Amino acid sequence: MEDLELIQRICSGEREAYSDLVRLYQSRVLRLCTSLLGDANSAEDAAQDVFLKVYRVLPTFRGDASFSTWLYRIAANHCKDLLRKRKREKTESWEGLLEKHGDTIEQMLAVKESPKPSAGDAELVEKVLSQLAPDYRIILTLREAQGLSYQEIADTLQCSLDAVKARLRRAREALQDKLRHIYRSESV
Amino acid sequence: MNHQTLKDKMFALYDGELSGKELQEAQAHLASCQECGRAYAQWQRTAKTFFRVPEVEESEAFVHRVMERLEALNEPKPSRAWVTWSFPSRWFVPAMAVALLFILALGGVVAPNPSPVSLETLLLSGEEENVLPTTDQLFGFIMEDNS
Repeated sequence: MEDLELIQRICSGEREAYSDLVRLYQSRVLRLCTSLLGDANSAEDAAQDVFLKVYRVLPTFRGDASFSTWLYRIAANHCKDLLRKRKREKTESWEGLLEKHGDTIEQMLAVKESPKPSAGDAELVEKVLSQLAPDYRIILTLREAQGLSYQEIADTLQCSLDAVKARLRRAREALQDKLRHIYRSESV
Repeated sequence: MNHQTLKDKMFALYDGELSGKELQEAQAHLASCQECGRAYAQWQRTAKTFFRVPEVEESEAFVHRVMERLEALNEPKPSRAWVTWSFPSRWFVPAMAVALLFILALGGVVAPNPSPVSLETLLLSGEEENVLPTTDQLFGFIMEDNS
């Protein structure tokens, strides 16, 4: 069934049709929330919140972009708020993290074809990514983990293609800059 | 293509955004330059390590939880009526404060001045001795003024 038809049914009061929409898009939203928030529990809560928010604002969907892009935009904005909140509460410094886990990060980066990461590795990845500005983390996630094209990212973040390219580059450089000590010791 | 050019275009190459001659030149440089090759491989590994596609399973339980929360949101809460009656809107308190200030300001403007003696007269009368005038002195001034 087409998204628009489903949306029309929901907007005309057929609430059960909304469960079909949730069923259809749950994995995409969950995947994005998990990529952005790191742990499965927060991601599940966030994904539920996203679907509640979407239900409330569904009548405002005009169809300018595809429904999935619109949904991604709401999910990304919701996660951005959560990341900002986390960032305000964050206490561990990058230097402290590097001192404690620098060797492990180096080992993780050295493995060429790594299998499924352990829980500890996943936690460490989350700690590293939480050091990035939320905007950078979002654009990197949309590109690297979700595989969105530049145009899809521009539609999701409501910005120009040039802005996507520039922001993506700055985000990558910011992450590389964080890891420069590890890269340096790797090449020695 | 030199180091700097490839450095500028490395992410475009990684994202598959280069084509034609530009792509060929970048690939040729990457194959022949150890430093650029290492930088490119480094980013590939960084992206793979930090941006994995998470495994997510579709579940009916998730759909149920969302629908349950939607249902719960529509249920009228017993306390809602009282809250609505006590605070008709979030603008109630600020609106009342503004109204009160307005009434006070209006009162200050329209209320008649009870004193027939001007402040200037009162102050000048005590200037010589640097003390406030006595009631008798004030009364005398008032009588003079009136005559």
